[in-house]
Amino acid sequence: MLEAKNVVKTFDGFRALDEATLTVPKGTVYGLVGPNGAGKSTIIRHFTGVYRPDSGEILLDGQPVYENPAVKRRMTVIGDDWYYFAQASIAEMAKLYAGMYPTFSWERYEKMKQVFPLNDKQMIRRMSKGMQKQAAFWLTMCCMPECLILDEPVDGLDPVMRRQVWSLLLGDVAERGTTVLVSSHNLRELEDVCDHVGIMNQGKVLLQRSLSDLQDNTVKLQVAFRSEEEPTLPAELQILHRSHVGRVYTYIIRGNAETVCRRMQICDPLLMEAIPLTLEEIFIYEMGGADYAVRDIVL
Amino acid sequence: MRSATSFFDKTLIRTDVRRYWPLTFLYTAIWIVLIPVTQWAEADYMMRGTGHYVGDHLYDMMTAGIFMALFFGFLFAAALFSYLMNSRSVGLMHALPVTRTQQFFSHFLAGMGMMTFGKLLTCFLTGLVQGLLYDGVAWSALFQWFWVCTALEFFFFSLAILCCMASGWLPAVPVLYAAANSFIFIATILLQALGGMFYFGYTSGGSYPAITRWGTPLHILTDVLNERVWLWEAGEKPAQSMAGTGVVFDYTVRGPRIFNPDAVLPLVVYGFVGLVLLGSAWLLYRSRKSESAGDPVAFAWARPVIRTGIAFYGGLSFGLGLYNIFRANNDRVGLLALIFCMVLMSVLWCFAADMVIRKTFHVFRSGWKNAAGVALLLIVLCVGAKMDITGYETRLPEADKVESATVNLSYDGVYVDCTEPETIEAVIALHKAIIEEGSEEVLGGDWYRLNVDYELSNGTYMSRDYHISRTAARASGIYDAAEALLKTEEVRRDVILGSKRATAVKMEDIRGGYINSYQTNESVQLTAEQAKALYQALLDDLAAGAGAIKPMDEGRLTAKLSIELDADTNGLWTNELPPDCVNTVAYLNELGFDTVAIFGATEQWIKENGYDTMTYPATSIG
Repeated sequence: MLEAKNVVKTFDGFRALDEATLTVPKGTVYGLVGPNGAGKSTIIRHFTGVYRPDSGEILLDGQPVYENPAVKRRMTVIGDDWYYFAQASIAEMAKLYAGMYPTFSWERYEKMKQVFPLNDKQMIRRMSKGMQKQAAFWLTMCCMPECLILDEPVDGLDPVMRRQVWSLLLGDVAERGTTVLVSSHNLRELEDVCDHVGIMNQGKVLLQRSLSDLQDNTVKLQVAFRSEEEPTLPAELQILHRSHVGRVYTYIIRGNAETVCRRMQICDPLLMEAIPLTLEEIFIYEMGGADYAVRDIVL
Repeated sequence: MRSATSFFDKTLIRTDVRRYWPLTFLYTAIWIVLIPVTQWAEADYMMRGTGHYVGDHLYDMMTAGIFMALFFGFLFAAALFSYLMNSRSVGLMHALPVTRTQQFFSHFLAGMGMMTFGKLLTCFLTGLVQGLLYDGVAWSALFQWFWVCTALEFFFFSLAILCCMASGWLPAVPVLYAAANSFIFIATILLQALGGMFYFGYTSGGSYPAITRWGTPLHILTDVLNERVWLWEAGEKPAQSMAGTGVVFDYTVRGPRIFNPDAVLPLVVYGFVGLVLLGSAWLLYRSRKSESAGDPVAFAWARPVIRTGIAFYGGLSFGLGLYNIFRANNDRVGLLALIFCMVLMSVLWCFAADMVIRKTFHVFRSGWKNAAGVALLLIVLCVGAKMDITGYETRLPEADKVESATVNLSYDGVYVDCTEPETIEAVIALHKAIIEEGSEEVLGGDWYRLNVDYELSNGTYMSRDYHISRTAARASGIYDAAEALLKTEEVRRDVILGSKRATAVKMEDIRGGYINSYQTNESVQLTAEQAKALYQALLDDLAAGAGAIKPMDEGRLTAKLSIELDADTNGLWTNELPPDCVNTVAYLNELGFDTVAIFGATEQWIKENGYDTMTYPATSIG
């Protein structure tokens, strides 16, 4: 289990992480989402032991990560700006990883040649951005980590390669119980692969839950009322967003679909339908509550 | 096998070696060209004579080792720790499962290892060349070269690593490295320049204080490793040139060059300092934040220190430069102008430094307090110097605390190392007279100079150098004080006998001599008896009070001749003979010299210049 407990990090007076607390259960794929500048990359750098928190703890199975090689050997990372040595090829970088990670598998390295259509003797800097990303996955997955930390991992990959990479990752999760923490803005993609989601904003983790819990806990309700005017809705309903077209009202309401529908029956709607929310919608409406929403700005 | 307690990581070392082999290649190639290739190419030259040249060459290469260590120490450090300057690379390196300590020492060992490999290969090839082309291998010199270079590299490499730790921006590292190597020296030069502007009689004494020498590694290391020391061997040689006496005497011959023993202490000290620097760098690395990559100064606490230092140095150096531009055609530009120049430049440098450190042009609000502080410091420095709050200008040593005083009255041609209390008191009296009555305003060539270096009983030195108006000095108490000094026996002895060594000449040791007159081009080779008689005449003149030069005279009457006495212990050499040395002049006459021609002065000239003709023998007046 990967944990961040009340982590605070300040850069020249700017509080990038503000008591951030996050738990990635073992063997899950945890999607970390949030607006730009929310602190996702910062917390990921803490998880990989690059940054030292001003206060709070970063733990893997209860052991601190920072300056702890025994723990760091169990995890690998692909940052949004993955670095390779200027003159190095994939094969040369593999020697570094193999020397650092005792679990590095040369057998897997050879097998991966079938997956990634790359020349492992070619200098990485001569490769395209997408090819460099493939190289990063190739090397990282050969380390056979217990915990994989990914920051914008498939950015730059073509759709086929994205599927290929996700397939490999999920295969590892299924076969070896690998824990994956992934940060991305591509919520549709995360929705397909994640089973836990954490939403960050302004250095805090606003909420974290399993994706099914999250989807069960928020409902999109389309309702048509008998009268032209919107009736008074039950006060206990926690409405995150409302809009209407004619008599048809659309509500985003926090709560279980069944419970919300039962409560709404008091208003005697002409028509009522509960639609499951996508992760993108959950993100948008949750962030709307945190003063972050799409604004209608006329330029 | 991976050890949890190891302080380095083999994979990182291997990676460093693989990545930076071109640097190792360059380093090794330079040494190979400098030593084995040179010794191979110049074997004929080095084999001639005593055959010591091959060892001498290795000692010469120790000086080259200073610059190799300075340059490659920096290059290796900058290369090996360059990952700290970029957030991407630091992200990879610090995410690897190694501790900061392992990272640090792995890179350090890789750097030292690569340089050591280069030197070992050079040693091997040098041994091969010497073994094949020379009589044998100069093992001792080779061994010493290796260890001296290793010590030098350890120091400079550690210093460069410390600079890498202090910065997260690669262009700032060479600046810090250059500053660390020279800031004490530059400060000394600037403060000496400032002292020369403010203090009457200020002189640096021709050398740098110990703190400057020791604080500037290049200075002291170059000094001690450049100094050539040879093993002297006893020998015997017939003294054929000694007027045919055929005396055989002992002498020494130069043997092979040896390692300068004076270099041991600086090398040990800098080796230890290197250890301290390395330890400091390690501690900084452990506390350094990865996010400081890209920051010119990696530690927040160091930023005001560096900014203040830059502002102070910038204000002092560029302020003095600007002031000298203003003053170019006007000697009277004063204190206010100097302060204005310094404050202006310090403020500019303070803001410029802040712009670089913070990477923004918006620095006025945050930086003005710092700038004002440095400006105030410079004002206090200038005003304090002007007011002479340390009492520099009026300071005189106490006679009983002076071990010796080296006096240079260059106008009178007197340069004496005085140790006798009577002379030292006379020196201090002249010094005092100049402080009280000396005029700094010197027009054209109308100057009189006193340069004095006191060696005090507490082991310290006090130096002053006065250039005063000669016309004003002649009409003041300075003249009397100078005359009194020139009449002391120690000064007269120096004038007559030529050097302090002459006092140690024993009459019975004198074997011969030689006299040459520059005026008449006459020369005489002396037998032992003649030389002894001449020496006795000189001693008699000294005892009679002769040899007192008149101070501040434009045209002094002396015989320009060279008298050399060969003795077993110390020789005597003099090149001026005052005309009141009547006994010596009489003996020169006896030897056949045209003493009138030797002095080259007419009676009329003597009268015109105020010399009392009664004090000189008739033979000296043409």
